[in-house]
Amino acid sequence: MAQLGFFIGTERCVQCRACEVACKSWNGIEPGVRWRRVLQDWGGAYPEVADRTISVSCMHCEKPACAAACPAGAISKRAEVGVVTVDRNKCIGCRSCSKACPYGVPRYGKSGRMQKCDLCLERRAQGKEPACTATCPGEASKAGTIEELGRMAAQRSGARLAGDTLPALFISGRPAGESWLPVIQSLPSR
Amino acid sequence: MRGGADCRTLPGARVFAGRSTRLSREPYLPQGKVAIYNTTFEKHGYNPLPVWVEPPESLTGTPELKEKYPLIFSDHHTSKVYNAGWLRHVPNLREVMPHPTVQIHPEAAAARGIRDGDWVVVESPHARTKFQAEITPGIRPDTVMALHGWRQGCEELGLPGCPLSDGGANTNAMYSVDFDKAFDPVVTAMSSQTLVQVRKA
Repeated sequence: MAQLGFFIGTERCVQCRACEVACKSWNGIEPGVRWRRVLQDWGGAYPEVADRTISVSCMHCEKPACAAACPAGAISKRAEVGVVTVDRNKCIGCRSCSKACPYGVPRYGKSGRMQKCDLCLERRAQGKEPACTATCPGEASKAGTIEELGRMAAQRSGARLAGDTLPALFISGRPAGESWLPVIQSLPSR
Repeated sequence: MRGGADCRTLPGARVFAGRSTRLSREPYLPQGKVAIYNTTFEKHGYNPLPVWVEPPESLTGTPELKEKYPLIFSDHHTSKVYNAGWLRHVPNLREVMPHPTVQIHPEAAAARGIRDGDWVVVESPHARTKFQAEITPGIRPDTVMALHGWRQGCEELGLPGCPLSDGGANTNAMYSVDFDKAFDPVVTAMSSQTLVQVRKA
Protein backbone atom coordinates (compact mmCIF):
# COMPACT_ATOMS: atom_id res chain seq x y z
CA MET A 1 0.00 0.00 0.00
CA ALA A 2 1.27 3.41 -0.91
CA GLN A 3 1.21 6.24 1.57
CA LEU A 4 0.91 9.73 0.07
CA GLY A 5 1.62 12.98 1.84
CA PHE A 6 3.05 16.48 1.50
CA PHE A 7 6.49 18.05 1.62
CA ILE A 8 7.00 21.73 2.44
CA GLY A 9 10.31 23.38 1.54
CA THR A 10 10.10 26.33 3.92
CA GLU A 11 13.13 28.11 2.40
CA ARG A 12 11.39 28.27 -0.98
CA CYS A 13 8.09 29.63 0.33
CA VAL A 14 7.53 33.25 -0.74
CA GLN A 15 4.51 33.58 1.57
CA CYS A 16 2.05 34.34 -1.24
CA ARG A 17 -0.76 32.11 0.11
CA ALA A 18 -1.54 30.93 -3.41
CA CYS A 19 -1.80 27.34 -2.05
CA GLU A 20 -4.61 28.40 0.29
CA VAL A 21 -6.48 30.18 -2.47
CA ALA A 22 -5.93 27.41 -5.06
CA CYS A 23 -7.23 24.84 -2.56
CA LYS A 24 -10.35 26.89 -1.95
CA SER A 25 -10.89 27.65 -5.60
CA TRP A 26 -10.40 24.11 -6.95
CA ASN A 27 -12.44 22.41 -4.24
CA GLY A 28 -15.15 25.09 -4.27
CA ILE A 29 -14.93 25.49 -0.50
CA GLU A 30 -17.60 27.67 1.04
CA PRO A 31 -16.72 31.12 2.46
CA GLY A 32 -15.36 30.96 5.99
CA VAL A 33 -13.77 27.50 5.70
CA ARG A 34 -10.13 26.82 4.87
CA TRP A 35 -8.71 23.33 4.35
CA ARG A 36 -5.17 24.63 3.92
CA ARG A 37 -3.57 27.30 6.05
CA VAL A 38 -0.18 29.00 5.99
CA LEU A 39 1.41 29.27 9.42
CA GLN A 40 4.10 31.81 10.22
CA ASP A 41 7.07 31.19 12.51
CA TRP A 42 9.42 34.01 13.55
CA GLY A 43 12.91 33.36 14.90
CA GLY A 44 15.71 35.58 16.19
CA ALA A 45 15.52 39.15 17.48
CA TYR A 46 15.34 42.41 15.52
CA PRO A 47 17.21 43.19 13.29
CA GLU A 48 18.59 39.64 12.92
CA VAL A 49 15.27 37.90 12.32
CA ALA A 50 14.16 34.93 10.28
CA ASP A 51 10.60 34.43 9.16
CA ARG A 52 9.50 31.00 7.97
CA THR A 53 6.14 29.78 6.88
CA ILE A 54 4.69 26.32 6.52
CA SER A 55 1.59 25.45 4.60
CA VAL A 56 -0.47 22.79 6.34
CA SER A 57 -3.65 20.88 5.64
CA CYS A 58 -4.60 17.29 6.51
CA MET A 59 -1.53 15.23 7.47
CA HIS A 60 -3.08 12.00 6.05
CA CYS A 61 -1.74 10.11 9.08
CA GLU A 62 -0.79 6.45 8.87
CA LYS A 63 -2.79 5.97 12.09
CA PRO A 64 -5.51 8.62 11.80
CA ALA A 65 -6.90 9.50 15.25
CA CYS A 66 -9.92 11.13 13.60
CA ALA A 67 -11.01 7.89 11.94
CA ALA A 68 -10.58 5.96 15.18
CA ALA A 69 -12.73 8.52 17.02
CA CYS A 70 -15.55 8.74 14.48
CA PRO A 71 -18.67 6.95 15.79
CA ALA A 72 -20.39 7.04 12.40
CA GLY A 73 -17.67 5.41 10.34
CA ALA A 74 -17.56 8.48 8.10
CA ILE A 75 -13.77 8.77 8.01
CA SER A 76 -11.77 6.18 6.15
CA LYS A 77 -8.21 5.58 5.11
CA ARG A 78 -7.94 4.77 1.42
CA ALA A 79 -5.76 1.63 1.34
CA GLU A 80 -4.48 2.15 -2.20
CA VAL A 81 -3.11 5.70 -1.59
CA GLY A 82 -3.13 6.10 2.19
CA VAL A 83 -5.24 9.25 1.95
CA VAL A 84 -7.71 9.97 4.76
CA THR A 85 -11.12 10.87 3.37
CA VAL A 86 -14.47 11.82 4.87
CA ASP A 87 -17.91 10.80 3.64
CA ARG A 88 -19.99 13.88 4.37
CA ASN A 89 -23.23 11.93 3.94
CA LYS A 90 -22.29 9.63 6.81
CA CYS A 91 -20.97 12.41 9.09
CA ILE A 92 -23.30 13.20 12.00
CA GLY A 93 -21.52 16.45 12.96
CA CYS A 94 -20.51 15.34 16.47
CA ARG A 95 -17.00 16.83 16.12
CA SER A 96 -15.31 13.86 17.83
CA CYS A 97 -12.71 14.03 15.03
CA SER A 98 -11.90 17.63 15.92
CA LYS A 99 -11.13 16.63 19.51
CA ALA A 100 -9.06 13.65 18.37
CA CYS A 101 -6.95 15.34 15.66
CA PRO A 102 -3.70 16.71 17.16
CA TYR A 103 -3.25 19.17 14.26
CA GLY A 104 -6.56 21.03 14.21
CA VAL A 105 -7.43 19.78 10.73
CA PRO A 106 -11.21 19.00 10.69
CA ARG A 107 -13.37 21.90 9.50
CA TYR A 108 -17.12 22.41 9.70
CA GLY A 109 -19.06 24.71 7.43
CA LYS A 110 -22.70 25.73 7.40
CA SER A 111 -23.84 22.10 7.18
CA GLY A 112 -21.99 21.22 10.40
CA ARG A 113 -20.47 18.18 8.73
CA MET A 114 -16.74 17.59 8.71
CA GLN A 115 -14.73 18.56 5.64
CA LYS A 116 -11.00 18.58 4.91
CA CYS A 117 -8.24 18.01 2.35
CA ASP A 118 -8.43 14.75 0.37
CA LEU A 119 -5.12 15.41 -1.40
CA CYS A 120 -7.16 16.23 -4.53
CA LEU A 121 -7.86 12.56 -5.31
CA GLU A 122 -10.09 13.66 -8.18
CA ARG A 123 -7.16 15.48 -9.81
CA ARG A 124 -4.87 12.53 -9.09
CA ALA A 125 -7.22 10.28 -11.04
CA GLN A 126 -6.61 12.62 -13.99
CA GLY A 127 -2.84 12.38 -13.54
CA LYS A 128 -2.57 15.85 -11.99
CA GLU A 129 -0.92 16.92 -8.75
CA PRO A 130 -3.00 18.59 -6.01
CA ALA A 131 -4.18 22.17 -6.67
CA CYS A 132 -2.01 23.59 -3.88
CA THR A 133 1.30 22.12 -5.06
CA ALA A 134 0.45 22.71 -8.73
CA THR A 135 -0.01 26.43 -8.11
CA CYS A 136 3.01 26.99 -5.84
CA PRO A 137 5.19 29.51 -7.75
CA GLY A 138 8.27 28.77 -5.65
CA GLU A 139 7.79 25.02 -6.02
CA ALA A 140 8.00 24.91 -2.23
CA SER A 141 5.33 22.28 -1.71
CA LYS A 142 5.16 18.80 -3.18
CA ALA A 143 2.89 15.81 -2.92
CA GLY A 144 4.15 12.26 -3.27
CA THR A 145 4.77 8.96 -1.55
CA ILE A 146 6.43 9.09 1.86
CA GLU A 147 9.52 7.50 0.33
CA GLU A 148 9.83 10.32 -2.24
CA LEU A 149 9.05 12.96 0.37
CA GLY A 150 11.57 11.46 2.79
CA ARG A 151 14.30 11.83 0.16
CA MET A 152 13.31 15.46 -0.54
CA ALA A 153 13.39 16.26 3.18
CA ALA A 154 16.77 14.53 3.68
CA GLN A 155 18.29 16.55 0.82
CA ARG A 156 17.17 19.78 2.45
CA SER A 157 18.06 19.10 6.12
CA GLY A 158 14.49 18.29 6.94
CA ALA A 159 12.49 15.53 8.53
CA ARG A 160 9.09 14.02 8.84
CA LEU A 161 6.77 15.68 11.33
CA ALA A 162 6.88 13.62 14.52
CA GLY A 163 3.66 12.39 16.09
CA ASP A 164 1.92 9.31 17.45
CA THR A 165 -0.47 9.24 14.48
CA LEU A 166 2.47 9.12 12.01
CA PRO A 167 1.53 12.24 10.04
CA ALA A 168 2.61 12.19 6.37
CA LEU A 169 4.07 15.72 6.39
CA PHE A 170 7.73 16.39 5.68
CA ILE A 171 9.31 19.78 6.33
CA SER A 172 12.70 21.09 5.24
CA GLY A 173 15.23 22.99 7.30
CA ARG A 174 14.71 21.52 10.73
CA PRO A 175 16.33 18.28 11.91
CA ALA A 176 14.25 15.42 13.26
CA GLY A 177 15.28 16.21 16.85
CA GLU A 178 13.50 19.58 16.74
CA SER A 179 9.93 18.74 15.95
CA TRP A 180 7.64 21.18 14.25
CA LEU A 181 4.69 19.72 16.16
CA PRO A 182 4.57 22.24 19.04
CA VAL A 183 5.22 24.98 16.50
CA ILE A 184 2.33 23.86 14.32
CA GLN A 185 0.05 23.63 17.31
CA SER A 186 0.88 27.15 18.54
CA LEU A 187 1.31 29.20 15.36
CA PRO A 188 -1.16 31.83 14.27
CA SER A 189 -2.37 31.28 10.75
CA ARG A 190 -1.97 34.34 8.61
CA MET B 1 14.22 30.93 -13.33
CA ARG B 2 14.11 27.38 -12.06
CA GLY B 3 16.90 25.32 -10.55
CA GLY B 4 19.39 28.16 -10.92
CA ALA B 5 19.45 28.02 -14.75
CA ASP B 6 20.39 31.15 -16.69
CA CYS B 7 17.06 32.33 -18.10
CA ARG B 8 18.80 33.59 -21.26
CA THR B 9 19.57 29.97 -22.21
CA LEU B 10 16.00 28.72 -21.77
CA PRO B 11 14.10 27.68 -24.93
CA GLY B 12 12.30 30.60 -26.49
CA ALA B 13 14.26 33.20 -24.53
CA ARG B 14 15.05 36.48 -26.33
CA VAL B 15 17.63 38.97 -25.25
CA PHE B 16 16.83 42.51 -26.26
CA ALA B 17 20.06 44.10 -27.40
CA GLY B 18 18.56 47.35 -28.61
CA ARG B 19 18.45 50.36 -26.31
CA SER B 20 15.51 52.69 -25.98
CA THR B 21 16.18 56.14 -27.44
CA ARG B 22 14.84 57.55 -24.19
CA LEU B 23 17.91 56.25 -22.42
CA SER B 24 20.22 58.61 -24.30
CA ARG B 25 18.27 61.73 -23.29
CA GLU B 26 18.00 63.60 -20.01
CA PRO B 27 17.76 62.59 -17.19
CA TYR B 28 19.77 59.65 -18.48
CA LEU B 29 23.50 59.82 -19.07
CA PRO B 30 24.88 58.52 -22.38
CA GLN B 31 25.72 55.17 -20.79
CA GLY B 32 22.05 54.74 -19.76
CA LYS B 33 22.48 55.53 -16.08
CA VAL B 34 20.17 57.89 -14.26
CA ALA B 35 21.62 61.29 -13.48
CA ILE B 36 20.71 62.30 -9.95
CA TYR B 37 21.81 65.91 -10.57
CA ASN B 38 18.66 67.31 -12.15
CA THR B 39 19.44 70.26 -14.40
CA THR B 40 15.73 70.98 -15.00
CA PHE B 41 15.16 71.41 -11.24
CA GLU B 42 18.21 73.67 -11.11
CA LYS B 43 16.94 75.81 -13.98
CA HIS B 44 13.68 76.40 -12.10
CA GLY B 45 15.32 77.29 -8.81
CA TYR B 46 14.95 73.95 -6.98
CA ASN B 47 17.73 71.94 -5.43
CA PRO B 48 19.22 69.81 -8.23
CA LEU B 49 20.19 67.01 -5.85
CA PRO B 50 17.92 64.79 -3.75
CA VAL B 51 17.75 66.12 -0.20
CA TRP B 52 16.36 64.64 2.96
CA VAL B 53 13.86 66.70 4.93
CA GLU B 54 12.19 65.91 8.23
CA PRO B 55 8.64 64.59 7.85
CA PRO B 56 5.99 66.81 9.47
CA GLU B 57 6.16 64.67 12.62
CA SER B 58 9.13 62.55 13.67
CA LEU B 59 11.00 61.51 16.81
CA THR B 60 13.91 63.85 15.97
CA GLY B 61 12.03 66.71 14.25
CA THR B 62 9.18 67.11 16.72
CA PRO B 63 10.50 65.73 20.04
CA GLU B 64 7.72 67.62 21.87
CA LEU B 65 5.22 65.08 20.49
CA LYS B 66 7.25 62.10 21.64
CA GLU B 67 5.63 61.76 25.04
CA LYS B 68 2.10 61.59 23.68
CA TYR B 69 2.96 59.84 20.41
CA PRO B 70 6.11 57.73 20.95
CA LEU B 71 5.96 55.45 17.89
CA ILE B 72 6.72 56.13 14.22
CA PHE B 73 3.80 55.23 11.93
CA SER B 74 3.76 54.59 8.20
CA ASP B 75 1.70 52.46 5.85
CA HIS B 76 2.48 49.93 3.15
CA HIS B 77 0.52 49.21 0.01
CA THR B 78 1.26 45.59 -0.80
CA SER B 79 0.36 42.55 1.24
CA LYS B 80 0.20 38.79 1.07
CA VAL B 81 -3.03 38.79 -0.88
CA TYR B 82 -4.18 42.27 -1.85
CA ASN B 83 -3.09 44.75 -4.48
CA ALA B 84 -3.19 48.30 -3.10
CA GLY B 85 -6.60 49.42 -1.83
CA TRP B 86 -8.90 46.82 -3.34
CA LEU B 87 -9.72 43.07 -3.62
CA ARG B 88 -11.03 43.03 -0.04
CA HIS B 89 -14.39 41.92 -1.41
CA VAL B 90 -13.01 38.60 -2.77
CA PRO B 91 -13.86 35.99 -0.11
CA ASN B 92 -11.03 33.58 -0.93
CA LEU B 93 -8.54 36.39 -0.36
CA ARG B 94 -10.29 38.08 2.53
CA GLU B 95 -10.18 34.84 4.54
CA VAL B 96 -6.40 34.87 4.44
CA MET B 97 -6.34 38.40 5.90
CA PRO B 98 -9.81 39.23 7.19
CA HIS B 99 -9.11 42.37 9.25
CA PRO B 100 -6.91 45.44 8.91
CA THR B 101 -3.72 44.81 10.87
CA VAL B 102 -1.00 46.98 12.35
CA GLN B 103 2.42 45.41 12.69
CA ILE B 104 4.03 46.00 16.07
CA HIS B 105 7.26 44.71 17.64
CA PRO B 106 6.79 42.23 20.56
CA GLU B 107 8.48 44.64 23.03
CA ALA B 108 6.34 47.62 22.01
CA ALA B 109 3.25 45.41 22.27
CA ALA B 110 4.18 43.93 25.65
CA ALA B 111 4.78 47.41 27.09
CA ARG B 112 1.15 48.21 26.21
CA GLY B 113 -0.37 44.89 27.28
CA ILE B 114 -1.19 44.07 23.66
CA ARG B 115 -1.35 40.47 22.47
CA ASP B 116 -1.40 39.10 18.95
CA GLY B 117 -4.82 39.59 17.40
CA ASP B 118 -6.01 42.22 19.91
CA TRP B 119 -7.90 45.17 18.45
CA VAL B 120 -5.93 48.35 19.03
CA VAL B 121 -6.50 52.07 18.61
CA VAL B 122 -3.73 53.83 16.70
CA GLU B 123 -3.83 57.58 17.27
CA SER B 124 -1.81 60.29 15.55
CA PRO B 125 -2.11 64.07 16.03
CA HIS B 126 -4.53 64.00 13.07
CA ALA B 127 -6.77 60.94 13.35
CA ARG B 128 -7.65 57.80 15.20
CA THR B 129 -7.80 54.38 13.52
CA LYS B 130 -8.54 50.83 14.62
CA PHE B 131 -6.50 47.77 13.65
CA GLN B 132 -5.82 44.24 14.80
CA ALA B 133 -2.33 43.94 16.29
CA GLU B 134 0.01 41.63 14.39
CA ILE B 135 3.01 40.91 16.61
CA THR B 136 5.94 41.20 14.20
CA PRO B 137 9.50 40.52 15.43
CA GLY B 138 10.78 41.83 12.08
CA ILE B 139 9.74 45.46 12.60
CA ARG B 140 11.75 48.18 14.39
CA PRO B 141 10.69 48.38 18.04
CA ASP B 142 10.00 52.14 17.68
CA THR B 143 7.87 51.78 14.55
CA VAL B 144 4.44 50.43 13.66
CA MET B 145 3.11 49.93 10.14
CA ALA B 146 -0.33 49.24 8.74
CA LEU B 147 -1.66 48.14 5.38
CA HIS B 148 -3.66 50.86 3.66
CA GLY B 149 -6.92 50.56 1.74
CA TRP B 150 -9.70 48.92 3.73
CA ARG B 151 -12.78 50.59 2.23
CA GLN B 152 -14.37 47.42 0.83
CA GLY B 153 -16.49 44.98 2.79
CA CYS B 154 -16.95 41.31 1.96
CA GLU B 155 -20.58 40.29 1.70
CA GLU B 156 -19.96 36.51 1.61
CA LEU B 157 -18.01 36.59 4.86
CA GLY B 158 -20.24 39.20 6.49
CA LEU B 159 -17.31 41.59 6.96
CA PRO B 160 -18.00 45.30 6.67
CA GLY B 161 -15.86 47.91 4.97
CA CYS B 162 -14.02 50.28 7.30
CA PRO B 163 -15.17 53.87 7.68
CA LEU B 164 -12.86 56.44 6.11
CA SER B 165 -13.02 58.90 8.99
CA ASP B 166 -12.09 58.53 12.67
CA GLY B 167 -12.24 54.99 13.99
CA GLY B 168 -11.82 53.22 10.64
CA ALA B 169 -8.62 51.93 9.09
CA ASN B 170 -7.90 54.81 6.71
CA THR B 171 -4.16 55.36 7.04
CA ASN B 172 -4.27 58.49 4.86
CA ALA B 173 -6.21 60.29 7.56
CA MET B 174 -3.31 59.79 9.97
CA TYR B 175 -0.92 62.20 8.25
CA SER B 176 -0.33 65.93 8.25
CA VAL B 177 -1.63 67.82 5.22
CA ASP B 178 0.33 70.95 6.06
CA PHE B 179 1.09 72.36 2.61
CA ASP B 180 4.61 73.51 3.48
CA LYS B 181 5.70 70.46 5.46
CA ALA B 182 3.86 67.44 4.11
CA PHE B 183 4.31 67.76 0.35
CA ASP B 184 7.26 67.71 -1.98
CA PRO B 185 7.13 71.04 -3.87
CA VAL B 186 8.00 69.51 -7.24
CA VAL B 187 6.22 66.17 -7.47
CA THR B 188 3.64 66.89 -4.71
CA ALA B 189 4.22 63.43 -3.18
CA MET B 190 2.98 63.31 0.39
CA SER B 191 5.07 62.32 3.35
CA SER B 192 3.41 59.16 4.64
CA GLN B 193 4.93 59.29 8.10
CA THR B 194 3.76 60.49 11.46
CA LEU B 195 3.96 59.69 15.17
CA VAL B 196 1.33 57.64 16.99
CA GLN B 197 0.36 56.07 20.26
CA VAL B 198 -1.08 52.56 20.27
CA ARG B 199 -3.40 51.23 22.96
CA LYS B 200 -5.80 48.35 23.39
CA ALA B 201 -9.23 49.11 21.98
